[in-house]
Amino acid sequence: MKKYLAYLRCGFLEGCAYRQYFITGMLANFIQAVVLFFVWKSIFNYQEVINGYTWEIMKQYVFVSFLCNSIFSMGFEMDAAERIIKGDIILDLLKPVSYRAMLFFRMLGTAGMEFAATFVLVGGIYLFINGIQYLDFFRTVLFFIALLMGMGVKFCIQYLFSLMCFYTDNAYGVSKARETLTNFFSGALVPLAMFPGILREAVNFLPFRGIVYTPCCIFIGFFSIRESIFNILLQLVWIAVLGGLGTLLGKKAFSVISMYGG
Amino acid sequence: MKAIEVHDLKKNYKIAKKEAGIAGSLKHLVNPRYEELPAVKGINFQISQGESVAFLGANGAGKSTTIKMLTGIMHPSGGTIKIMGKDPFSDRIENAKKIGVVFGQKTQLWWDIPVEETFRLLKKIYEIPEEQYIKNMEKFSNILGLREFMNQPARKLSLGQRVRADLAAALLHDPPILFLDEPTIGIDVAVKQKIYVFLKEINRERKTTILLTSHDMKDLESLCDRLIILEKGEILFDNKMNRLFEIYGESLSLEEIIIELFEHRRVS
Amino acid sequence: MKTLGKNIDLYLAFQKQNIKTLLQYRGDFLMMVVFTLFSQGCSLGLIYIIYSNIPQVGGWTMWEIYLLYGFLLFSEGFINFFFQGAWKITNMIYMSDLDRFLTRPISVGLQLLTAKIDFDGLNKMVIAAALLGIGISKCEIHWTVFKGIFFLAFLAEACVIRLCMIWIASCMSFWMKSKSNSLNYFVISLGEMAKYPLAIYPPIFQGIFGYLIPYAFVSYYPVGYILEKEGMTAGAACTPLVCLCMVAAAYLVLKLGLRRYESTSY
Repeated sequence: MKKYLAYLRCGFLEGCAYRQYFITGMLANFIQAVVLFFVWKSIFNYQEVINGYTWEIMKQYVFVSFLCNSIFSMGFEMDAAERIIKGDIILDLLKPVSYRAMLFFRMLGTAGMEFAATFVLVGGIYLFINGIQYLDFFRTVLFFIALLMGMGVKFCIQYLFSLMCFYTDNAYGVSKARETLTNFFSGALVPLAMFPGILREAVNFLPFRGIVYTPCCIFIGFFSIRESIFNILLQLVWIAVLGGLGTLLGKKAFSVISMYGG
Repeated sequence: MKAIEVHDLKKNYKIAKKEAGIAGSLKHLVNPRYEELPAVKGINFQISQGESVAFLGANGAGKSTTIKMLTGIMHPSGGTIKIMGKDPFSDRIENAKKIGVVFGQKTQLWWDIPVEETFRLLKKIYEIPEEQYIKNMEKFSNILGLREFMNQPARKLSLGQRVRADLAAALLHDPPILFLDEPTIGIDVAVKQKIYVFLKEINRERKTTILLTSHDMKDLESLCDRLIILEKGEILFDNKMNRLFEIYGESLSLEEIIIELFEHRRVS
Repeated sequence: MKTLGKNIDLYLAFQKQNIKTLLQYRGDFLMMVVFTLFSQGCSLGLIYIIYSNIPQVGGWTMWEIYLLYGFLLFSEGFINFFFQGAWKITNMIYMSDLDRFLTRPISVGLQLLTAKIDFDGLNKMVIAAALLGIGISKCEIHWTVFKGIFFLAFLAEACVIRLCMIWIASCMSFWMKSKSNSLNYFVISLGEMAKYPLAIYPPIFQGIFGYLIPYAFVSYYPVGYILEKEGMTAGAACTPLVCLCMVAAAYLVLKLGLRRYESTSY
């Protein structure tokens, strides 16, 4: 276990070193949140209630969605791809640690730093604007659990996408595709409840909702306590499923490496 | 007209004086302090057309800086440079037509396209007349053995092949002056021989002035009659290579003499 | 004048070579097509979803927003395909490619611009063109000959303004000590805001996008004018002026940047 903690520390330090990328990413996220904020504001100016959402609720949604997105924002596909192309990946695979566990703990370390920074910032702004009025102890706890679970789901998905880097040179495309896909289906930009017809049903079967939609709804109070717990369990299920998929596909991807011979 | 005239050439670098830590960074933001680091301290030399001169010096001695100034990449802090009688900075484009440069560690070939396409592009860039182009390509291909990889993209070439192509590329437009910055790093002996033969031929036939920087003694011995040694921004030695042997005796090899020279300088 | 002709000739020669490199990377290109189609599809889809709930945002209907989007996407693709070098200036400075450029008897700016080509740009332009085409047919526009000409002119100006923005952002590397420069990403991120009509943002943003980082002139005013929205004429008329200012600024930044490069070491 100790060796994994070393990676944790490594990730944390890397996060600090790559401050600039983190800030750029956060800024991009922030701008996206700002755009959403004003778009929805102008929409709600026109119509008071949309699909059960009011402006008050939407405001919180935007905030929390931003928070959820800011954690684990530094995708590791580019990194992994670089190591694969250079051949350094062999060094990783030769170590007596699970490749995925290593990635996970490193990400955890980086995320830890991101989380600390973002949470303090965003949490501060939120409390400043909205006060404690909407917070409810039990619900907030559930929210944090959902947030952590969401991170788990996001990691699994990123891992799966990073495996694609074993097959193609175009890491940027892979990471952009992952981002867009996630943004779309996770409810980061539009609450899933607003999706039309069949899409809304379909989206519920995907793991992405666990990344943003679930924590958001728990926080806002759209889910009852029972629903919240149900959704958290759903997140766990997805983590298990995606994790299993990751292991299977990982094995296949690693064998491709030996084909290339570095 | 001399090929290269350098008079009291100086170059100072501004280094930010910054204290460590966050306090230091903030302080520097508000009141930036700079220190002047002299890299080249007022050197003088002249090179006639057709000479082949070697530049030697430890890393950080001011060698690269001098070369950068001579090729028009960097502005001197003081002094004058004349390349073929003209200041290289007054008209960069005119000057560029008169020089050829080979950077040992960086290639000037386009990476993903066949080598012969690079040459065609260079023909356009340097406005080389068709006749001259064909003549040069023929000659260079023969001596340097380029034909075997002309249609390969640069990224598929071995180092030796790449440097040979770079040499041809640098001389395609018949520049009167050729700068070579560590051209033979990492190259095997056989290819090095080909390169020496080529350069000697060019120097002899076209009176191309050659300026070479290298750490490789074989390069210096094979190609150059004159040696300029730089140390800490100043010229330590500027004379025919024979003179070195006259001063230090024939029994020592070039390498040993140069080591002596550095030690000597450091002690004094 | 002769230099301009020569530069164009060289540009075409460089790009021809760049395009030849596509042969080397064919598989990747196809993958990129897929990824881009997918990414753009998702973005457009999101707008569709928002609009499935409400008929207009800030007075603009869905297809009108798609027109805005089209302008932005087209200019982005244009830069990626024709002048991708503008993105890589930071790299070129630190990899000593710039040294090599300085020893060649042709304009450094040209060499920087043509250093890379991104075939994805072609994708984006095609998607954008389709979007614009369909959008025009879906929106009620009163077409005149002038409007038609303006439309094309605005599109061209959008490309130029965007190029200058990226160029200037990348050239900031001349003054920055560190090896990485995220300013161009930042500028593109800001472009996210230009996907929606400026009117929905508080005045301060309108100021920023009008005077500082002129996204307003890339899509908002031009498209607004074509669609005959209120208050667009002044903005649209200023677009060529803004375009010229940006080009002048970009030129200046390069000159100053090179001067600085030539006096410090990296």
